[in-house]
Amino acid sequence: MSSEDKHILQPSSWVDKYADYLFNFAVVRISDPEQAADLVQDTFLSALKAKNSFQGKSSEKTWLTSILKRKIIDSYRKRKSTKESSLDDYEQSINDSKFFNNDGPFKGHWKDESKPHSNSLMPEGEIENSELREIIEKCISLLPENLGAVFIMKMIDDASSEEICKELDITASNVWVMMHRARLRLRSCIETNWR
Amino acid sequence: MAKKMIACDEAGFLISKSRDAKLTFREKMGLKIHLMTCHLCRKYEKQIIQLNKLIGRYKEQCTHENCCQTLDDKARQDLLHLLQNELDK
Repeated sequence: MSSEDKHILQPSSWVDKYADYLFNFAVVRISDPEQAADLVQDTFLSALKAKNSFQGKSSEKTWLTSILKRKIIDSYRKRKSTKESSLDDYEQSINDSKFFNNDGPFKGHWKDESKPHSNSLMPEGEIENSELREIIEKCISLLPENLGAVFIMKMIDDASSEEICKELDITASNVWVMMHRARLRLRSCIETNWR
Repeated sequence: MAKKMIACDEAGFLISKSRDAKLTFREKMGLKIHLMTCHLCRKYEKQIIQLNKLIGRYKEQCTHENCCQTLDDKARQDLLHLLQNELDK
């Protein structure tokens, strides 16, 4: 590789060039802006320590982003709750009692207060991008346990189920159940916030 | 053995699973039959499809190069100082 092709690091310009990009990247995936800012700080510090391992094959931005990605996944792993192991019981886990009756004559049916009201969550042609972003980010931030992590990895990062299983130390069926529970909540949150 | 009709909780799960993985023949049939008679789950399915579209739009608008969120001035200053300290060491 000739010297023109190799990228070099210029740490003194990192904040100017990349701080907003990295912050936005983190906040989309972490929700909490304070924690996101901390992760950006940690990323720059780790990058400085590791600068001798930078081979110049990727751009500075790509390299910094990959360090941030690793830190985001580590924070997801820390967040993991013990509830997730109870997801292995199929019947128990798909009958999310927030949304469905779990006993009685209407067992398995939608609860009145949680049922979908129309074919459409919102008139998507009429909503501004900034409004949409606010609703989506708010609803994702409300997801409990690690449902948000799984949903974001799948829908925003296009991670495969295998990758998600490996990174978060869960099974494939956990992934399906968690995606289901995330979608139940997001659908409900968006419909409520829009009406 | 009589097949058990599936209820909305299982149908909802299958609607979600069908986005990420292939349903078995039995799952597909169970869901199809349930949707024929359940207007709530038909609505749910349409909403989940729309949710996917909305996330796709969000992804395009607020990730990659479009920075919808930016650091406030104080956080930015703190970062600059921190980095400068490290570089000066």
